[in-house]
Amino acid sequence: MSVLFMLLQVVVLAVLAPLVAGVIKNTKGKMQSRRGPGYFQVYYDLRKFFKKDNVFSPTVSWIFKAAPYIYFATALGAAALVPTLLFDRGLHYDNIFVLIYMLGLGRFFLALASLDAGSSFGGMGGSREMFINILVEPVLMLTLFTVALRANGTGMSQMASASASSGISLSAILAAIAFLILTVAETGRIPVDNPDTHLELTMVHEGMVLEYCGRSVGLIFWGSALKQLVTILLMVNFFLPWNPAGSLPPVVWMILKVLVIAVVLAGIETSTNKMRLFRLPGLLIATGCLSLLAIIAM
Amino acid sequence: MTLLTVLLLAGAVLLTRVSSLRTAVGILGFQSVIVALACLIFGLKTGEFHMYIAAVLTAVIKVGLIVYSLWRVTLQLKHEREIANFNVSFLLAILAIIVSYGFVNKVLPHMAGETLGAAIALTMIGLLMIIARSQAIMQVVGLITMENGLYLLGLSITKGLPLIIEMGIFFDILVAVVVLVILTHRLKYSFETTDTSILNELKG
Amino acid sequence: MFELILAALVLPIVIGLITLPQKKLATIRYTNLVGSALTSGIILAIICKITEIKVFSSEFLYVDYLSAVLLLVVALLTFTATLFSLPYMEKEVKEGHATEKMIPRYYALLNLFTFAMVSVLVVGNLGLMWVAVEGTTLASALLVAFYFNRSALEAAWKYVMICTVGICLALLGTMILYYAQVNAGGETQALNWLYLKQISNTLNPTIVKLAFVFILIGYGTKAGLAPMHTWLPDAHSQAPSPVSGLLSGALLSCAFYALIRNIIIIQGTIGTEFIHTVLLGLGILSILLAIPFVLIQHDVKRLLAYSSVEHMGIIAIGFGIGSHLAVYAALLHIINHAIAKSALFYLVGIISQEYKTRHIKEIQGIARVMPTVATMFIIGILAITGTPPLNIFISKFLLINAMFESKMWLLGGLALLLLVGVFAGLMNNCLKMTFSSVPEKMKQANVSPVALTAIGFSIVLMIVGGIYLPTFISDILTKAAEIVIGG
Repeated sequence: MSVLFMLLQVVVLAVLAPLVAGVIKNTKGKMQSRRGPGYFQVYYDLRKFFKKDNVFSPTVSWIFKAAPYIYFATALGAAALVPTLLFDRGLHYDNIFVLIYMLGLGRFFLALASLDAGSSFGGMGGSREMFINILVEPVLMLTLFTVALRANGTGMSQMASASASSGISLSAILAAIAFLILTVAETGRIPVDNPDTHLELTMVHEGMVLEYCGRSVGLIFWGSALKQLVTILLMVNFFLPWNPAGSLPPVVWMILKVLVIAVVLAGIETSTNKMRLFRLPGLLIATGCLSLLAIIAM
Repeated sequence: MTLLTVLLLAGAVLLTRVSSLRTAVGILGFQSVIVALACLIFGLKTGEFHMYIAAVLTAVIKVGLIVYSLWRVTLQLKHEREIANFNVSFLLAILAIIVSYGFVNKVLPHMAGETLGAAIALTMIGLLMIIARSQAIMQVVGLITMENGLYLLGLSITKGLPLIIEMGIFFDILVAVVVLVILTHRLKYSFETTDTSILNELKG
Repeated sequence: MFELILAALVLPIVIGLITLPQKKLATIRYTNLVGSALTSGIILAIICKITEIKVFSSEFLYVDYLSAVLLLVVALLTFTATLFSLPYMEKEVKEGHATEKMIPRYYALLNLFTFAMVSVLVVGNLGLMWVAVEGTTLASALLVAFYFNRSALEAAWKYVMICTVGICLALLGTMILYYAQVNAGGETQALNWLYLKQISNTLNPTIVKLAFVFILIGYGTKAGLAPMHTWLPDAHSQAPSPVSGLLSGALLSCAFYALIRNIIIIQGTIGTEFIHTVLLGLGILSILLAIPFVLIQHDVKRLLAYSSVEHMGIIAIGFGIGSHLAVYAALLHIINHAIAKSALFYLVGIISQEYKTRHIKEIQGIARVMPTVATMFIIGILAITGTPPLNIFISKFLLINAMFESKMWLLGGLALLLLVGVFAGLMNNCLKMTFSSVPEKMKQANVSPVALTAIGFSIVLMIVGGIYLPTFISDILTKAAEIVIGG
């Protein structure tokens, strides 16, 4: 029974991920006094990509061809594991480490593939992506540990229910702020990385996937949209679990919170500019400090 | 009290990142205000009258006189900037916090009040600033941070030292800052800069 | 007695305040001379009174034989320093190193410094003792930076920074000691030395051990023990010579006094083994670190400063051995070192004034240029390296005797070897300075008789001390040693 629910969750999240990406793009557009590309534009883009052929450079190996599939698969796996507290999944292996490192596996293969095509943009994007990842990962773990400490364990359902039952405290606020910054870093938004640009000076994730086209790039886009939705769901369920009592069912509140976070992300993107790559360690150490303070304040 | 601890630690860690002298002195003032507030809260909790006097003294001397005099000095040092490897000192500051809380939890678990770990961390961060910073005013800021940390430590483990010793310590710190400010003025006058890394003539 | 102590504290401040607004140099000189003589007289009277009543204790003041030993040092040194300052600063103004406006400030600060040092020695509360020691740092900082040239500023900045950081650690240690006192239930007389000594065996040993480490590092920084001695050569070489003499002779001893007062309490709780090991280690380290710098030194005042580090190491070894003879020798060494080192600093002051440089290579042929000064210089150098029949030889000899008596063969042998090294270095440098040929532009120089009296006084004390130690002093030293050991 729970397996069915899990599959349902995967399908729903995979279908809704491009919509959330579209919301972010549209909000950004409206904030920048444009019309925005429309809420369903990402679906049309994906359909366009899936109709085209793959073109591979002659120097590639199997990693290049397999990477998009691996990336998408790990994103689907993460979507399956994300705790939504809507139903009891009865899982024994839903450890937070599994989720984070599954996403890390996908990123790893993508970075390898970026080197595979033999172009310099790919290598540059891949190395920058890995540089950011080295800094983001420990801080991400530290911030998630603040939730794990409260729940006395690292099982995600445990953590989600412990967060839901604890009140608003200084520690929770600090952890929420820290994770917001980390969401920006994980989803590759300004000020960490620019998801709209294709100029070599400013791209990190886009640089990594520059050599892909057709079906592969469609899978990668879908995968990163899905990853974005997973990260936002983590934020909502672990760090902002409080619902006003009564009124609407928790599903509705969760959707509302996801949309609010999407708008907030768009707002952050519009209001700041991309940070110099070597100033990122400072930002991430500051985030780590915030989560440390959250642990101390517990 | 937890809020005060968090604000103190955040301020102290932030101190290791600033490069403008005025911001550093501003953060120091903020820190001294919190220490005075902490003394006040301790006084309310334990009901000892001399803690109120000590809190007032902290506010007047540390926030008022010391921060004001440092502020006046920085107004003249408009072109001085602190140049150092901020990320390393930031990391060391965080390490200091972890070490001090670990120390308090492991070695002295029975006296783990809320502010003891913060006090030790503050002292270590002050020491870090004195060692790692080359601007004269930043070193003075580090010294006052260290004194704040020691004062908070005294508050946490005992109910504060007797009033006359406290007054003596405050007076000492005040005179120390006065002497250091005089020396900083002279440094600026003689060397045209207050960067102490140029004070390397006397060797051997 | 209380009035005497109060007078000894208040008089320097009064004299200092009077001096500050004065314009006529002659008035300043006379007031200070008279004031300093009076202060020293009052302090000597206090010492005599102590031999009668043995101990004076009030709420914040506490004077006993141990304080008396150091009060003797301070009395002698401040008087000779003021006496020597009179012609020295006059000449500095003539030579152009200082302006006339700086002189009142100098004397005022000198008096403030005296007050601070006396207050370290007479308070009976460990917290107030801390305040007084920090006060001496601040009072002497402006004296070190007196000339306000580049090197002086550098020296003063390092001095204030390093010593204040060290003193903060000592404050940490004192607070931990207070915490131990509160835990043992005695918080009514907070940090009162006498009371702490009585309840010292009820304090928690772990806490007190932790406190000891911090107190040792803190007061050890002020006392010039390695590896915290890095401020010493700079500060003592850049200060005006009378102040250098005071710093080396009196201030280091006062810092040691504060350390010993704390140790007396601590050894009541954790026993003497840990304390003695650490003191011995720091002492040997100080001598070891001082030797290479003595051997390759260019600046004559820095040479004397490193020699101070070495002598502080010897005193630390004395206290670290812990037997009655060793502590007696260490206390005697404090007095002897103060007299000899201050005389040497004054002599070097005159010499560098004449030669207009402090570089050893450029100071040649003192014997032709200033014969009296040269004689006194040779006597001073012989004294400081521990040659008989001068006073430091007596205390060093007693110390090495104590080492071998306590069966520390290796340590005694090592100490002897290291002292030979220092002897070689100092003699090499100083004999070269005195007996070589005169550089062309130097002619016979006249030295002020006042300056010579100030130094001559110390030289006489050195010679007399080497031959015969008056029973009066020996008595005080014995009783003070008893206090330190814990009688």
